[in-house]
Amino acid sequence: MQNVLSILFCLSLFYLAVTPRVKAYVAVLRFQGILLTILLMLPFIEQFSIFAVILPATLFIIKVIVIPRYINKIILELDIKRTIEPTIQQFNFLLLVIFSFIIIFLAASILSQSTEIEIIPFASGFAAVAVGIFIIIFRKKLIIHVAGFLVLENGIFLFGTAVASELPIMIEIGVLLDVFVVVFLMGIALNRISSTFEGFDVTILRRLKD
Amino acid sequence: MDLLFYSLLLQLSSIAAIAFFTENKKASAAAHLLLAAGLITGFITTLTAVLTSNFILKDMNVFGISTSLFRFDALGLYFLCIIQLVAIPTTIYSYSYLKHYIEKGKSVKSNLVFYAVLLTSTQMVVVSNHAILFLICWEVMSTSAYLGMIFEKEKKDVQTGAFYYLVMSHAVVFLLYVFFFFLHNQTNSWLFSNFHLSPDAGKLFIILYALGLIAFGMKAGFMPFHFWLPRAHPIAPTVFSAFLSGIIIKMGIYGILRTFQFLNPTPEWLGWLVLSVSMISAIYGVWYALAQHDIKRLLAYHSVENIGIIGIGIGVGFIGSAYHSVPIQVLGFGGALLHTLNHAVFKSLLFVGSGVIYQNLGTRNIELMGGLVHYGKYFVVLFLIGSIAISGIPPFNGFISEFIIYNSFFTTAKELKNYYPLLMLISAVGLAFVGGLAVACFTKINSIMFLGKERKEVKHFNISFYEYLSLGIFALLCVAIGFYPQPFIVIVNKVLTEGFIPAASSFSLLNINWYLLSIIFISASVGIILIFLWKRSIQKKYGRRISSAWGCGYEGLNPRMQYTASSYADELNEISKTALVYHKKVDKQKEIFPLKGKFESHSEDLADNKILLPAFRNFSSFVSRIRFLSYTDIRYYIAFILIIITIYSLIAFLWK
Amino acid sequence: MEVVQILQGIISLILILGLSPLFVGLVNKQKAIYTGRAGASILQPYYELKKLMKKETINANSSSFISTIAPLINLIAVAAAAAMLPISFARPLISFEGDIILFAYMLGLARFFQVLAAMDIGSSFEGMGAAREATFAVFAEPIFFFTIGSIAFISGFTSIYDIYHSIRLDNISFVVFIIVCSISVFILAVTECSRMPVDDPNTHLELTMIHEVMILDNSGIDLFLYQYSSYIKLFIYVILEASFFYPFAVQSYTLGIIIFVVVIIILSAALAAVETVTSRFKMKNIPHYLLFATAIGILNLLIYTFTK
Repeated sequence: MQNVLSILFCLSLFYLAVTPRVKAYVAVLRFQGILLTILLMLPFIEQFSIFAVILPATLFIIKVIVIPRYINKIILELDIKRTIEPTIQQFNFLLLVIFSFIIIFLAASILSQSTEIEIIPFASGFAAVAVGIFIIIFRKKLIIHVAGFLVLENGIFLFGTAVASELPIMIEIGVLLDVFVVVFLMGIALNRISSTFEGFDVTILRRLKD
Repeated sequence: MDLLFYSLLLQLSSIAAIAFFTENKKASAAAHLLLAAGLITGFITTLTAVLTSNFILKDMNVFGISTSLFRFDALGLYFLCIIQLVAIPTTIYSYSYLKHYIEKGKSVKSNLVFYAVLLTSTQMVVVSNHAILFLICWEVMSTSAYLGMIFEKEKKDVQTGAFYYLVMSHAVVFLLYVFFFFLHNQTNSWLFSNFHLSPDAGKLFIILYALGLIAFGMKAGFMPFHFWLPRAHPIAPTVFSAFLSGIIIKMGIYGILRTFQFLNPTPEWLGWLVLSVSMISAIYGVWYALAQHDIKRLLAYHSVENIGIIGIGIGVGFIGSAYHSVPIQVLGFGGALLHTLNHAVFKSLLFVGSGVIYQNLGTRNIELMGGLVHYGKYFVVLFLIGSIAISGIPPFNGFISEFIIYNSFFTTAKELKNYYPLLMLISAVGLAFVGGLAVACFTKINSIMFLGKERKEVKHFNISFYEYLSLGIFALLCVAIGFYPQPFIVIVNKVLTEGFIPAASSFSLLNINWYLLSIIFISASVGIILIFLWKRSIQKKYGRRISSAWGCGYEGLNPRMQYTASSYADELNEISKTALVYHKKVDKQKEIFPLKGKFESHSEDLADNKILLPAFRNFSSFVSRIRFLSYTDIRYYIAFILIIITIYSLIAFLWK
Repeated sequence: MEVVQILQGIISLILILGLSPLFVGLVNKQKAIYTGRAGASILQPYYELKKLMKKETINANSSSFISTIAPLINLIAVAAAAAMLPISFARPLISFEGDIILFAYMLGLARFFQVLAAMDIGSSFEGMGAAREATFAVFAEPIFFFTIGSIAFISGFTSIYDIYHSIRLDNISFVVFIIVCSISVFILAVTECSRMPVDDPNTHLELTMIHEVMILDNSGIDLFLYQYSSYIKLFIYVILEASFFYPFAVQSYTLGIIIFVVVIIILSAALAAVETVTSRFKMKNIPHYLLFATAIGILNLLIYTFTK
């Protein structure tokens, strides 16, 4: 089951790599949030504990409800254009993603020989981190950067489930809160920037340099 | 084997004939006659030797004197065979080619001398057993090719293009000196038959391999060192570019295979290195070819592609050698050897064809051609055979060698299990991708050059008997190897099992049912003929007529409205434009009735223009430019962080 | 035994050649029903072929011998590829180690000549179609290798017949693998046969077509040959897809046949449904679509390799 969810997660990453629409990014983020919630709920089939409910519940609220809504709100309020303005062609971006997938899976399988990890969730998490970083590097829009951070964070989460024994739940909650704060800060910053500068290109932020 | 040396002497005597006859025309006829006679006797001798001998002759009796200067082993004889086989039609074409220049009053004697020297020295290269003799012949071969190349030396681009070739040749020879001196130090012998080193030699083994692969790979034109091919091929006289692409770059392959003979078994990572470099060469070669408009430049890039395919076979063979697996080696090296022969044949055919077109139209730009099929139907058929063969499409010879290479992938996956199925699958996909691009490229040049209507007026399109003869021999070989591969496979198999791969008799290329392929191809051809006859009768019954093409009701169609080469390849180039540096400039007029528009496109070679040349040019200013890291955009910093993390984790991975 | 096998092979080849127009008819009929029309009879493609045969052949005035021979080569190459496909349990007529390569390259030969014949007219309509065909084929080829080729590399068999017969459903990860493979093959079929999200077989606007625009200037017997080979090509891919369901019919020959027929009918319904609900992609986006399919294949393969 964990593997199937991870595969779906990987597919959503591929979709991110090809879609040119901002809305699709939000939808994928929501989808990934649902996937992660289900993933965290899985242990409940065997044993139930109140404490373990906290994480999936907060995750669900933050990732599926609050953050996507917040981003949608920003998009509406600031009247952001609907395409993502990539800096390289989608085709090459997808190629890059495919190659990083191959490398990550190979690396994961090599690692799995020495340490106890589950290859597929581990590699998918890893891949999500890579894709998140790629999104930040190769997209111009700030709002997409936010999405990139979130994908990256989702990756860390998936990562966490793969190496559950080594990463305590508290750290995951910490990361979650961290990113949550980052997103809000970004949102506020976006609002500020929009009133100071025209547009949301990071390239314009160059003017901020000292 | 004396006969072989007599044939070489016969070829060299053509130089005497050139000196003897003062008149250009007679000199040319006599020299070509002697060359052809020498080559044919030589070829027959070599072929019988390949078919009959058991290749264990070590010391040779040459003219009654026992000497170890020469050796006729399997590999050498196989390459000798290819050289002579390809040289015969090229020589026939050369006669007709030089006739054009003689008619213009240009002296062709020097060119002929260089051609004769080039032929003989190339043949000497593959039979020499002594390292010094090898180097001498190699140097003579390279230099005579250079001298032949600057036939039209008054042109500026000829000078620069040939200069690149000269520089490359010198670099190769320099590396080869170091290579052979090291080998001599280790083995205390100058003889190829005594050179042998095992991986126990440690670092030296790797250094030697690196030297050998770089030197010979440069000659062969593997990816980062391919820069001389697209420069030297277009400017060389067609005879030389055909020989250069058909044979001289194959000497690089010969050298790599010899290196393997000296130094085996290879470490596995080397196999992967060769395989990936070859894969990159193949893909980049064909993709650059797609963006070219100059027919000879395009074919030069296709040489890079095909050398890549040969290299893929060699890489698989190296992997097999690391695991001491006979089937993998036989299939890998077998595919490489057969593709060497095949490429020599069809590439020479295409180059000779391009030469014929150039002679008639006076341009190499395919955008100015078109409709040639209405002038030379049989010529187009011959050129088409070469194109289908080079795209690796059945039923011609390119398919047979690619088929063996695919089989080598399958066998490697089956024998080595583990991750190998995955890696081999990726290689197979790469090869299939190259095949698809080659199809796109050759449909492009065939359709733009030959089909449709003339874009530029064709004043005359004459093809002489000798040109047809030369093209016909090449095309016949393409068809023969494709339709009836058995005898050629027997030869390749013999070369491999007797001497090249130790203990290789346990597996043979003949395990594949080649007769079945022949039957399929022949019955398919019969089917085509039958349907053709049926179609004829139907057409007779219901009628056939010629009408103008559909133009959406517009009657003023003219040849300039046809699809051009750049528009044909546009979609593919558009995808690769960031990776391959393809520029497009559209100058559209925005008025309601636009009068003039402009469009231009050109491609730069990435490895060449962006890596090699600036690397040399800007080395001195490198230090001052280290400040390039100080960007002010956050995205660059994140990219740098990613890069550093990757490097660190790679080091962590590889550090034991 | 040998004779029986050859007979079986011949019968399955004849079946493929004979039934391919029927499949197209089936798809068209269902499409009509979904869109609320009565639709033509499912035998309509046969009537159309018969009609085409009796028409006068018209060649463009700039065409050459390429236009004459291309349809023939096209048909024979496609038929040769069809001869390598197994129908149910019958060993195909052409079956040897490595025939998967010959299969892919035979279709390549067909494409080579179809593109040449299109460019032979010298009109930019055909040129457009030819350029598109050549471009998309480049990206479609890897999908074939990442699906059927990957099963070949995993199982170690290189003949299409053996490849399909090596599929066993006793391993859960292999089942997932096969299911995702069949999805990729479906995308491949759609691309190679110029069906809906990639090309619209019904449109008559020259600028938006791929396959139809390539044969725009053909008529009579030439058009008959082209149409017929495109029907066969579609049927070939359908059989490739249907053959994934072999393992359900290991028990008996008749069961195999029944499952085969059922699967083909389901596939025709799926194809018709896809064509009804989707619209054609922008030409620019088709490479992304194909690369996406390739990416799915790669992911699938990676996951399979590392979970064993």
